[in-house]
Amino acid sequence: MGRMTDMITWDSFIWFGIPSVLLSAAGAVVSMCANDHWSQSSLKYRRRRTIAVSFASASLAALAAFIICLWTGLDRPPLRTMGETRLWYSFFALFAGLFTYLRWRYRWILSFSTVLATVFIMINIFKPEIHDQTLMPALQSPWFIPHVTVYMFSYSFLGCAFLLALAGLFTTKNNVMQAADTLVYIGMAFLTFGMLSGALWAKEAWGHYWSWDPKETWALVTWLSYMLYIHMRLLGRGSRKSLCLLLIFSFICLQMCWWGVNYLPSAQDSVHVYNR
Amino acid sequence: MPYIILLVCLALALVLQILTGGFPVLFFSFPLNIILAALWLGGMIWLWKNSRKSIFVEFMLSRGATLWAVGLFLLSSLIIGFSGWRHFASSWIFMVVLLYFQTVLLFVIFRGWRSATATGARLGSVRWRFLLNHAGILIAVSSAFWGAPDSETLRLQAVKDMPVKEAFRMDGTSAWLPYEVQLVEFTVDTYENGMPSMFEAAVLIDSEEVTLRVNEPYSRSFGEDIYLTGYDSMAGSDSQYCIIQVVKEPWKYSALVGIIMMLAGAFLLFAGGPQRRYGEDD
Repeated sequence: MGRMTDMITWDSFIWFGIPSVLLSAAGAVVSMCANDHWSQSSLKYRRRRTIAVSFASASLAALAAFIICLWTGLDRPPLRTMGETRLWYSFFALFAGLFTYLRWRYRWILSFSTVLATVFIMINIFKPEIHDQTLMPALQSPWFIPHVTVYMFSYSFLGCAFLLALAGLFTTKNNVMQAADTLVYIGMAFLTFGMLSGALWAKEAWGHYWSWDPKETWALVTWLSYMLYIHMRLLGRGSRKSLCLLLIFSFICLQMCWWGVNYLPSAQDSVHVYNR
Repeated sequence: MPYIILLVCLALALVLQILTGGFPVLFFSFPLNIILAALWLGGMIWLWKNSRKSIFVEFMLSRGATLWAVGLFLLSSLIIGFSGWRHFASSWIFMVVLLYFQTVLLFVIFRGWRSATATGARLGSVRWRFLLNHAGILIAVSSAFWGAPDSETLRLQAVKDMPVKEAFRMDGTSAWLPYEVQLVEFTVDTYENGMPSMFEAAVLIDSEEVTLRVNEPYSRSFGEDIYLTGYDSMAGSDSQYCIIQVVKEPWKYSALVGIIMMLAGAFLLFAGGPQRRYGEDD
C-alpha cells in the first residue's frame, strides 16, 4: 500500500467522515419516504429500498476505507485510543442500522443509526485533541470494543423505546406498545450481550464474573427492569400507563448505569471510573 | 396465602440478618453446598412429579410468582445500587430472594420443557429460546449461589529476592499457598504522557516460569487462576514487587455454560422478536 496510505491520518478524516454522514442521511431520507400503504412487493417500494440500501452501504464503505487506511498507516489495529473507539462506534452503528433495515425493514431505523454515527463522527472531527487519549492497561483487551459497542447499540434502541413510552402516555394507539416491544427485545438482546461480555471479560481481567461493582449493579438493575417489562407484557399484566411508566423507569436506570453512577458517592472506587 | 409465606420468609431473613450480621457463606462449603443443592433439586423434582396440584407448585407457576421473582431481584439490586452496600449480596434477605428466584425458574423450566415435548413435536425456535434463556440464567445464578462458599480470592506481594507462600484473603486474614511465588522480572510500558499502557511480570510459580499480564491470567489447576493485579505505581518499571491474585472458583465452568446459553438465548431474542401475548399461545 505504501505511500498513499501513509498519508492517511486523522487529518484526512473529514474527507471520509462527512461523505459518510451525508450518504447515510440520504439513505435515511429515502427509506423514510417509503409509505406505509405501499405493498412490500410493489416496484415503487422495492426501488426505494434498493436506493436506500445503496446509500447506506456507500456510507459504510467510506468509513471502512478510512479504517483500513488508518490501520495500514499506523501499523497496528486502530482500537487503542478513545478517538479510534469512536470510529468503530460510528461504523458499527451504521452497520447495525443497515442490518436491521435489511432484516426487518423498519423504515425509521436508518435515520436513527445515522444520528448515532454522526454524533461520534462529529466528535472525532471537532475534538481531535482527544484522539490520542490513552487507554489504561485493563481496557486493552479484545473484549473492549464489542463490550462497549453492543451497549451503545442497545442504548440506542432502548432510547427509542423510551420515546415511544412517553408518547404512549398520551396516545391510545395500540401499535405504540407493539413497536415498543420490538425495540425492547432488540435492546434487551444487546444489553444481555453487553452484560455477559462484561462478565466474561471481568473474569479474565479481575478474576470474577461478577463483583457488584456499581456499574455492574446498575447494569443488572437496568436489565432486570426491562426483564420485568417483558414478563408483564408476556403475562398480560399491568395497565398501559403502568407499562409506559415502567419503560421510563427502566430508561432512567439505564442513564444511571451509563453516566449517573459516576456521581454516586458509593461508586468512587468503581473499576469503571475511567469513562468519567 | 403464598405471598404471606414469602413475606414471612423475608421477615425471618431480616431478623436473622440483624441477629447474626450476615449469611455464614463459608459454613456451606463443599460438600455441604452440593448436598443441599441436590436435596433442593431432588425435592423440587419430586414435587413436580408427585404433587403438581399442590398450592406450592401452583403458586410457583403463577404469573404473580414470576413477577415477584423478577421484582424482588430488581429491588435487591436497587438497594445495592443506591447504597453501594455490597454485603447485601451476602445477606440472609438476598439469599431468600435468590433461592425463591431459582425455585420459580426451575418450575417454569419444568413446565416449559413438558409443553415443548408433550406433543412429540420438535422444539420450535420459541421454545429453544425460552429454554436457553431460562435454563441459562438458572445455571448462571445457581453457580454463583451454590458455588460462593467454595470460591476464594487471595492476594500476595511477589518480590525478587525470595519466594513467598503467604497470601491474604480479602478480609485481611492470612492463608498459606501450597506452592511458592517469586518475581523474576517486571516491566511497564508507558505512553508519552507517562501513563502506563501495559505491564507484565515474569514470575516463578512452583519453579515454573510464567508471564502474567493484565487480561492474561495463568490457569494453574482446575478452577484456579493466577492474575497480575498491581505493582508499585510510583516506581513504575523499577517496582520491586507486584501484586498477584489467586482466584479459586471451581464453579466457574458451570457459570460459563449458563452464560453461553444466555448469549444464545439473547441472540434468538434478537432474531425472533416479540411473540404472541399470554392467552393467545401456550
